[in-house]
Amino acid sequence: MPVFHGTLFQINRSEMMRYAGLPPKGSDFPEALIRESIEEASALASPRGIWQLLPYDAQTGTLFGDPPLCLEGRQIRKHLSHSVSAAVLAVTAGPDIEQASTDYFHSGLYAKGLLLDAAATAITEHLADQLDRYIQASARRTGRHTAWRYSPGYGDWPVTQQQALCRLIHAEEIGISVTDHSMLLPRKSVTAIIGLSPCSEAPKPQQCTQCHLISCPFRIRPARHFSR
Amino acid sequence: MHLFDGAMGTMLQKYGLAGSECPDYCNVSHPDIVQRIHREYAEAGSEYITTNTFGASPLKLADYGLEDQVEAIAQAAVRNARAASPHIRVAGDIGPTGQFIRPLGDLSFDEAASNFYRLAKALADAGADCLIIETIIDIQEMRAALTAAKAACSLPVICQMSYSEDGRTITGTDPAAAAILLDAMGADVIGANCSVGPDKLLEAAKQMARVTDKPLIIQPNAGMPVLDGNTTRFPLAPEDMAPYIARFAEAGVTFAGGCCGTTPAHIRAMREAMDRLPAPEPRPAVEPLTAFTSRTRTVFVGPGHAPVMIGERINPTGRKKMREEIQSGSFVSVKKEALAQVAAGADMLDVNMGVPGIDQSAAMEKVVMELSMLCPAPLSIDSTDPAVLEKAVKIYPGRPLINSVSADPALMEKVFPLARKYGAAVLCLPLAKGGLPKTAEERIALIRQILETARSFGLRRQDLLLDPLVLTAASDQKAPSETLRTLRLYREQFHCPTVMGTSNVSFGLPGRPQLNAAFLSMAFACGMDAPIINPLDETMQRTFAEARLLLGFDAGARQYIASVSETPAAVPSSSVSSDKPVLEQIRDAIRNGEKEEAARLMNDAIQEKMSPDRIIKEGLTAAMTEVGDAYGIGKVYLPQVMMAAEAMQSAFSELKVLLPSMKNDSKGTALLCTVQGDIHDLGKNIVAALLENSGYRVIDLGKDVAPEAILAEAKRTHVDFFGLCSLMTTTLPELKKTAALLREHIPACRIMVGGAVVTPEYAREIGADAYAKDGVDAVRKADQLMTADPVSE
Ligand code: B12
Repeated sequence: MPVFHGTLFQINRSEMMRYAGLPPKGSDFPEALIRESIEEASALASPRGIWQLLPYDAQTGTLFGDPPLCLEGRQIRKHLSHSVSAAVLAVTAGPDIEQASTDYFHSGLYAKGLLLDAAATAITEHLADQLDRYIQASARRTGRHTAWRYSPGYGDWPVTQQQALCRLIHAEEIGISVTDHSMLLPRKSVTAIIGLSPCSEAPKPQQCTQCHLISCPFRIRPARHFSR
Repeated sequence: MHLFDGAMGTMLQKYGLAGSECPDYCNVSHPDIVQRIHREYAEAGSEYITTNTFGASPLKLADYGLEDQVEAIAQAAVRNARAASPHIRVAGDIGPTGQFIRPLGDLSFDEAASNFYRLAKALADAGADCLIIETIIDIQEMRAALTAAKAACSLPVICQMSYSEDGRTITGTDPAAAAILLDAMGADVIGANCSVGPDKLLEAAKQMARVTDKPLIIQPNAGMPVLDGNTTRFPLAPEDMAPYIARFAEAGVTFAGGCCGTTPAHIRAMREAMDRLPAPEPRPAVEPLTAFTSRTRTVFVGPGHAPVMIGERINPTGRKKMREEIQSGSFVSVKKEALAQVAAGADMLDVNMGVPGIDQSAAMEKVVMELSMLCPAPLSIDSTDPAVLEKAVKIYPGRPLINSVSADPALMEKVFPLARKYGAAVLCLPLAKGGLPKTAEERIALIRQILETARSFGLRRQDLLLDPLVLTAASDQKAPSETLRTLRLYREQFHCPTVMGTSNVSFGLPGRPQLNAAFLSMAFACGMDAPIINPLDETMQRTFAEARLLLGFDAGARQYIASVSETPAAVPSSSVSSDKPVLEQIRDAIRNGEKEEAARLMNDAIQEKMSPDRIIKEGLTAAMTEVGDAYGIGKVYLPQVMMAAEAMQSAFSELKVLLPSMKNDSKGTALLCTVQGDIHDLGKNIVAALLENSGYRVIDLGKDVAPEAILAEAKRTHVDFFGLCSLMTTTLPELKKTAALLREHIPACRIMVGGAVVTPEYAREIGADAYAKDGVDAVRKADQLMTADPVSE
C-alpha cells in the first residue's frame, strides 16, 4: 500500500483553538500557551498515513478491494454517486500526544492537557489534509475530479464499517488498529474515503447542518464545513 | 533557445499502445511505433529526443515484474531515439518512483539512489547524450536521483521538478529553493515540467532565474487533462502554447519542450515560434549568493541581506536532560527546543549531537530526519566527524551548513567532496595543528589555504563561510578586538559571509548576556552576517532587532518597534490589585487562573484570621461558580475554566499546607469513568477536574472500564454518584448496560451520564438520574443530585 506520512509545518492555529473551545480572536487567552502546545504536540507526533485507490461501482455502492466492500448508508452513497474509483485513507498522529495530555490532567495541569489534545486533533486533521491534497493532485493528472473527504461515523454511514475499511488499506501497517467497538487506536487517527469521478461538479462538502448533533459545541453556523 | 520533444504517453495512446502493457517495454516489444513517435518529433523540429524510459527504473518496472529488464529497455530506448534522426541529441529519461523517501514515506534514501543509479548507468552505457530527471514532486527524490546520476556517469544532468497550483511542490518546496539546492549539487540544467500548464511554469522560471546562472528548462503540459468518455483531452492547442516560447525566452529559459498532452503539432508550433525569436541576449549574471534551504524555506546570508540568527541550543553539552534523552533514543526535547528557537526568531538551527557513549552518526541521522519534517529553519550540522556529517547532509532535504572544517588537510579532503555532492555549504575555521592563530593575519593565511583547497574540490565562493574565531576575553584581553579585526579583514579580502559562535567571548565572566550583546553589536558593525546565539535570550533578541534596524533591513523600523513594545512573554505580572479586600483578590486570582497568586493569597487570608470555611466558600467556590456561569453564557472559554480550576487547586493545596488540621469536608464522592469499549478520556478528565475543584472527592477509574470493575469499586468504597460517559454511538449500548448493572446491584445509586453522542432523552431512556452537557453543567447537576432525595425504587 502506498504511504505518505506528511509534514508538520504550518499546523492550523485557529483550528487548534476551535478544538480547544477558544474563539479564533477576541479572547485574552495567553498566546504563548497556544503556541507552546502546538510545539509540544508537533514534537511528540509521529505522523503516518496510508492509502489505496480502488475501483468503485456507484450502482451497487461497492468498493472493489480485497475483499470487496459494500458501503452502507444513503448519504455516503449519494456523495459517491458519480465516482468510478475511490481512495481510502487512514492517518494518525501517533500515540504519544494523547498519553502526554492524560498525564497533564493527572498532574493537575488541566489547561495544558486540554490544549495539547486540541493541538493533536489539529495535527491529525493537517495530516489528513495533506494526504487528501496529494490524492487530489494525482487524480487531476489523469483528468479526474475528487469529491470531498468523507469519514465513516458521519451522517448515516455507520462507524462499524471502520474495521472493514481499515482492512482494505492495511491500516495496521502504520500502527492503527480498530477495536471491537469500531474505535481507532491511537485515538488521534482518522479514516476517510475520497471519490474520484470524471465530472467536475463534485457534491457539496459535508456540512454541520447535515449532522444530527444539533447542540454540538463545535457546530459551525452558518455551515462552513463539517464539525469535527 | 533549444527545443525538446513532446509527450510520449499521449502518443503511445494514440497508436493504441496504452493500457495494461508496460509503456517502457514498448521500446523492446514495439520499437517501430516508438521510433515513429520520435521521428515525428524530430521532423516537427525537436533538437533533443527524450527516451521512452520514464518508468524504467527497477522500482517502477517491478509493477510489471520487469525489474531485470532495465538494461535491455535502456539499450532499446536509446537506439529507438537515435533512429529518429542523425542530428538529434538523446536525453535519457528518468521519472519518479511513485514512492516517498523517509521520513515522508518508507523508502530509504539509499534504496532510492540505487534505483536511480541503475537506470542512469544503463542509459549512459546505452549511449545517451545527457540525462533528464523529470516530473519529480519531492525535492528529496530529486536529490537521490541527481546524486545517483552524477555517480553513475559524467553526462550532463537535467533536473525538472513538478509544481502544484500554489507554486510549490506537493511537499512544500518552491522553485527558487529547489534551484539553489540543485545548482549547489551540480545539476547542469534546472527547470520544471508538467505541473499545471505553461502559465505557472513561466512564474517558476522567473523565480529560478533570480537565483541561478545554470541554463533553465521548461516543459509544460497542455493544461490540466479533462476526461471525455474514455479518452483524456488536454485543453491547450498548439497555437495556445506557442506564444509562451517568447515569454519563456524573455524569462531567460534556454530549453523548452512539452509534457503530457503535447503532440508533434505542439512541437512544430513551438519550433516556428522559436525560429521567429530575435537572437537571444545573454542572461544577466546572478551575483553569487549564499543561501540555505529547508524543505520549505530559503535563508539568504551575506552582504546585502539582513543578519541571520543561528540558534545554538540543540547542543547537549552541559544539558543533562537533553543528553539523557538522546542517550535513551528520544528526541522530544530536541524537537521542542528547535520549535521554540524558531518561534523566538531563529532563521537557522545548529544541531550538535556530541553525546558521549552513543552512536553519534545514528543519532544525527535520526534527529536530522525528524527535524526535516518539523522545522522550517534550515540546519547547520555541527560536527567535525566526516562520518557524522555524511549521514546528516545525505538525508537532509535541503541545503545545510556544515559546521565546520579547519585547515586540516585530511579533514578537508573528506568534507569538501561531501559538501559538493550533497549541496551543503561549509563553515571554515582558521585553525591548524599546533596552536591557536593569535593574530588576524595568521587567521587570514589559514583561511586562504582552506579556500584554495575548497576550490580545488569544486566548491564555489558561495559555498564557503568564514569564522573569525571567537576566544574568551577573560583569558586574553586582546582576543575580542583581534576577532573584530579579523572580521574586517575578511570583508576586505574575501567575499564570503561570516559566522561565529558568540557566547565564547564572555566565558568565565559575570554579566554574560550584556557582554555577549555588546560584542555582537560590534561584530555586526565589522561585517558579521550570521552569528550563532541563544535565540531565547532577550538581550540577544534585542541586539538583533537593533542591528536589523541600524544596518538598514527594517523598513519603517516596524520590526524594531514591535520588538520594543512587545510585553515580555515570560511571566506576566499579576493583574490582581492589592488594594481590594483579600477575598475579592482571591476571586480575581481564580477568575484569571493565576496559580501562584491564588496560593500566595491563602497566606494573606489566614493572616487576616479568616476562617478556612469562609475562604473556600466566599473566595474560591464563589469565583469558580462565577467562572462556570460566565462559561455557560459564552463569556469565558473552556481553557480559561481549566486555568481557574488549576488556580483553585493550588489554593486548596496551599490551605492544606497552612492548616494541616483543616477539616476536609467533601461534598460527596463521585466515581467517574468512560464505559467499556470507549477509549476517549478528555471529556471525562475535564469533568473530573471540575468536580474535584468544586469540593467532590473523585475516584477516576479511567477509560474502557468494565461494568463489573465499577461495581467492585463501589462495593469497596462509598460512592455518592456515578459519572459515566460514552463518546461514540458504538458504546452507547455499553453505557446502558453499565447503568442497568449498577441499578440492579445498588438500587439507590445515583447515575449521571454525558459524552458527545449522549442526549438527555437517551439518559432518561437508560434510567440515568442526570445528564450533563459539559463539565460545568456536570458540577451543577452533581450539586442537584446531592441535595435531592436519594432515588427511590
Ligand atoms: C475532535 C474530534 C475528533 C478528533 C480527536 C478524537 C479524539 N477523541 O481525540 C479526531 C479528528 C481524531 C476524530 C476522529 C474521529 N471521529 Co471525531 N470528533 C471530534 C469532535 C469534533 C470533538 C470531540 C472532542 O474532543 N470534544 C472535546 C471534549 C472536551 O468534549 P467531550 O469529550 O464531548 O466531553 C464533554 C462533554 O461530552 C461532557 N462529558 C464528557 N464526558 C463526560 C462524563 C460525564 C460523567 C459527564 C457527566 C459529562 C461528560 O463534558 C465534557 C467536557 O465539557 C466530535 C464532535 C463532538 N461534538 O463531540 C467528533 C465525533 C466524536 N467524531 C466522530 C467520528 C465519527 C470520528 C471518527 C470515527 C471519524 C473517522 N472515521 O475517522 C474518528 C474516530 C477516532 C477514533 N479514535 O476512534 C463522531 C462520532 C459519531 C458516532 N457515530 O459515534 C463525532 C460525534 C462527530 C459527529 N458530528 O458525528 N474526531
